[in-house]
Amino acid sequence: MVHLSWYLTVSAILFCIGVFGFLTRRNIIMMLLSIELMLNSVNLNLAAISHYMEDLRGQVLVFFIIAVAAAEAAIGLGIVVTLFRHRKSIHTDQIVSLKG
Amino acid sequence: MITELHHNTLAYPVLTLTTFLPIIGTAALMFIKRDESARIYSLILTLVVFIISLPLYFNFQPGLQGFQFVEQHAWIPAYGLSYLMGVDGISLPMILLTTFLGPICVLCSWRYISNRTKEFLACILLTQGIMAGVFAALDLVLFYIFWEAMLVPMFLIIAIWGGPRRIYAGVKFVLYTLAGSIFLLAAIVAIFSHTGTFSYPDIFLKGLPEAWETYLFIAFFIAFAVKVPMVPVHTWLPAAHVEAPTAGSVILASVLLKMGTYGMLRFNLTLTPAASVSLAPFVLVVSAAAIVYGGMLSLAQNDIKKLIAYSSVAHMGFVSLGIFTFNLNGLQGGMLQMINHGLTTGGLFLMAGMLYERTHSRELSTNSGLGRFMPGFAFFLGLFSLSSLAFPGTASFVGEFLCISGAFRNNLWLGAWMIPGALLAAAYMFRMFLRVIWGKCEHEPVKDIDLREWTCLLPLAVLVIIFGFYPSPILKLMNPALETLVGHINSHVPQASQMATRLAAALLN
Amino acid sequence: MLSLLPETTLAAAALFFFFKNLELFKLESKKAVLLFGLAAASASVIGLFFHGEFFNGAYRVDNFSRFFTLLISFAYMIACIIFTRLKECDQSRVDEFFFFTSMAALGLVMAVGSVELMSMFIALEVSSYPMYIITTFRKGLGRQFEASVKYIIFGAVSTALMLYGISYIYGLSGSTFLVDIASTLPPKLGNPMAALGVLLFMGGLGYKLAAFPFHFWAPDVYSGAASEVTTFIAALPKITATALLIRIAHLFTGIEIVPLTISVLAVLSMTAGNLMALGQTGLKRLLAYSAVSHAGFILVGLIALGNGGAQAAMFYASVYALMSLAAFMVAVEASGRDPVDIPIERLKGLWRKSPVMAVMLTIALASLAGLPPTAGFAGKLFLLISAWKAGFEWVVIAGVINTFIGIYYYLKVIKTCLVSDGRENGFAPAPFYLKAASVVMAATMILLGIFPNTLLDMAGSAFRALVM
Repeated sequence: MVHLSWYLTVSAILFCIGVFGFLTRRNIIMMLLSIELMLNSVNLNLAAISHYMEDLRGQVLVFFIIAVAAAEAAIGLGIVVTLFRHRKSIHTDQIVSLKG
Repeated sequence: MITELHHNTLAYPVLTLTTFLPIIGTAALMFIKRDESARIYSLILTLVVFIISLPLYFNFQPGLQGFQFVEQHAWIPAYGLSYLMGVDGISLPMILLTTFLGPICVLCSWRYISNRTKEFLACILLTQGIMAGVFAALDLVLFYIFWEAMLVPMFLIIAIWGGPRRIYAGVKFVLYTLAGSIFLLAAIVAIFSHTGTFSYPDIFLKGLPEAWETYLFIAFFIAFAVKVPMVPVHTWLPAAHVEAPTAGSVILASVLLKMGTYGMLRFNLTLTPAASVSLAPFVLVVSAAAIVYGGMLSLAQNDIKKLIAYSSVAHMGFVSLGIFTFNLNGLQGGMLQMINHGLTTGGLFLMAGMLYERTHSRELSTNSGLGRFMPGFAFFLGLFSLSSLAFPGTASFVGEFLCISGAFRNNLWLGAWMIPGALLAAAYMFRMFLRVIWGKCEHEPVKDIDLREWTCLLPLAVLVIIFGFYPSPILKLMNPALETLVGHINSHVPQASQMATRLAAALLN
Repeated sequence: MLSLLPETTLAAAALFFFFKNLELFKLESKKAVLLFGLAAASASVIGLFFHGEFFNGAYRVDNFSRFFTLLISFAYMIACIIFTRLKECDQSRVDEFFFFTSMAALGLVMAVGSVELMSMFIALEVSSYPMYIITTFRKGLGRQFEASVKYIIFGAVSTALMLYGISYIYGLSGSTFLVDIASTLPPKLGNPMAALGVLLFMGGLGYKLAAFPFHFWAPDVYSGAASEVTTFIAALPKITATALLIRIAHLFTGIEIVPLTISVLAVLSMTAGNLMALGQTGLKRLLAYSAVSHAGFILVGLIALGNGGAQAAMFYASVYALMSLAAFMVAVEASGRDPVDIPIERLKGLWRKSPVMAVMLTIALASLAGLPPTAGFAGKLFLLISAWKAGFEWVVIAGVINTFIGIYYYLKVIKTCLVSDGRENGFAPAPFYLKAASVVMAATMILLGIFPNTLLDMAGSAFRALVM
């Protein structure tokens, strides 16, 4: 039997990859993908915990997260597309008119 | 005991009215259409406030210990805040000075301010009420609120109606004051966390931990020293004075600076007595430096307002020096000097403003020799100049004399050091007086002071002469309070010497 | 049923504008939004008196949630008053704009009432998406898309952080209900997963609050979005973030590292925000950085929850929302002709064009700067007192020093709007109701500074409802 800590470790690694990708990538699509990775690591966490505790709430939460992440991606990509139409680029190095 | 509270027995809440009548009265200015009626309204309001505050003097019982006319109400119980107002012999003269100068400030701006008159009067009224509040507040947070609330109206007075570099001067004023008072806020929070109350008498009764005293003293002292202003932090004062309109300069010189020395008397000396005694040498040295340095700077100025501003630095040096000698003479001298400096320098700034209205210049060279056209002006200028250099028979003489005698009692060298300071005052005041009255005149004739200006100057002049010959009414008011204060400090001298030893050891290691 | 009245009102507003968008109603949108704003505020007042529990205990209406519902609804009402002046927003999408703002307000109210992590998360998302979308609602080709992308990307990351925190909290306690978490968690507080979980969760909320280091979106979104949108984003989410932070933080007071981390972040937040605000020339960017520093002050309350910090933070959050709305009311009046941000110079001569607005802005800025006798000062004082009581003396020192830094840039704006004389800056005369609203807001900012008792008592009873 695989111990819970294995799942948690894998998910932590996934999460860190996501964070790393988010911080280093300069393409907005890649950044959104990194965020997806982070969300999926959460899903993995929740599913594993839910299974080990024999409590279904975690898995319900996973479904919610999947739905919400899809909605978020839809809005995000929609706005990215409009941005691309205006600026002909989705590379953050070229979108620097707001120096934040 | 300093902490006894004698509740207000007058038919009306005198301190509340003195403080809040001008503040609330500001609202009515919104509904006044014409500038002239706004001026008259403000004059009447300030006169009414002055009359309201008079019973403070007549019903004050100097023999009673502690605070009188006390008004006490719960305010924010969750944080132990109370609305606690009261006066003793130290704050009473200051409040009367404030209310007394109110009508004069309105009168002297009658012609000087012609744009945005209503806003100007609103700022003057606000400042006046707030300043009275500073002197009456006995709750630390209430005190702090009044202390800081003055920043915005005073900033506007300087920055809107001031001279060419008004914004620089206004910002400098706010930043300097706030830089000092943030430490005051931190100290107040610290005191509350220890005593659980903001009420000054309660804090006094409970006492503060000895380990904190030095820090608290420094925090309070920085805030007050900026206001006084003491030497390294005095540079905002000339800038603010030169740029401010006449009424602003009068408020600054006559009342605002006294808030600093009042704060030292009220909080530093009573709440942190041991630290006061052990750190007094530093204060005395800085004050003595201020006297000579301010005097020398004043001697070098060609701008009349700047000259008077630097003379204020020197005069306020006398006050802080007198206070920190910790003997009765020194404290009396400091208190008297506060009042007299308010009357004298207020008068001088009024006169500088009158000159400016006539010649549109504050330079000594432009105003040179104008005395020949203005005999009335020459009389008042002579009187206030003499008072400013502490000529016997004028008000400042008594104060300065007591300060010096207090200094001699404290330390022979300290007293000796003050003599050149007093001489410098004669030099710079005579220099200005001679240039303005008898200097070579290249200016076309100007009109002598008119009735309105007489009305401004006469009350000040009368008081200067009365206090010069007969200071005992004020001395009688404040003596009991000052005697208690001296006793309180003396009882902490042994503790202070221990503290000084520890401090020295800490510094040497 | 009355206990869900505020939520129902906001939902009705959202539905109304949804159908209005399909041209089912004839009512003028700007009148309708004013009406719904007033309705929401009055509903929240009525709602104060009804309590209850819904959805199997996932949604609780008590003093705590109703206190924040009241704040959000009043902020929504003021925002609605400002929305009647839509200047930078795309006029063809007015109804959509009102639909999304009502929806976001509803989400914020729902998040405050949620006592279960899952529903809290859903409600927060319901409030976030509309805000991502309305960020793009600006006339012309400005920087709004760029701002929106930044907003949504940082938002998504903070959601991920929050969810990761939730997964750990769930893993430790075996439940997503706060009640169960409170009863099962205390023995496991020593577990590093608990600290990590709660800090990640709070990080997600720190994004809403624009606290350091989650503040990077704020200046860009503030300046890139239309001024009306910024008005909304600057005030309402902060209230909810404060509520949720208090809700979560008080469960984890036993972990020492949590207050310590928050205190460091609070100090960094106020210092970073203030220092960066010093050099700003754009009004909205300046307010954005000032928001970062105020987020730091709100966080100060969290490190001293038991010592009155919670009440102080609630008080400060409400006052901050008011001050920020007041400042943005003037910003909206000044906006309309700039590609991105409103230059501070635009406010020159405001005292001549609109003395009421100039005075209100001055009071709002004095309050933001923490000068007495305004509400901002009272709030800061309460926060500092509670921080000192909790033993964070250095936070108090940092707080007062930051107050000093802050005054410089607020004074710059005060100087511009009250002292400088402007030639032709074309302020349209404000309508009467706007002037009346600004007088009321200015008076409230001063009165709350002098008589904070009522609000403090309400905050106190709200916090007691939470602790019980």
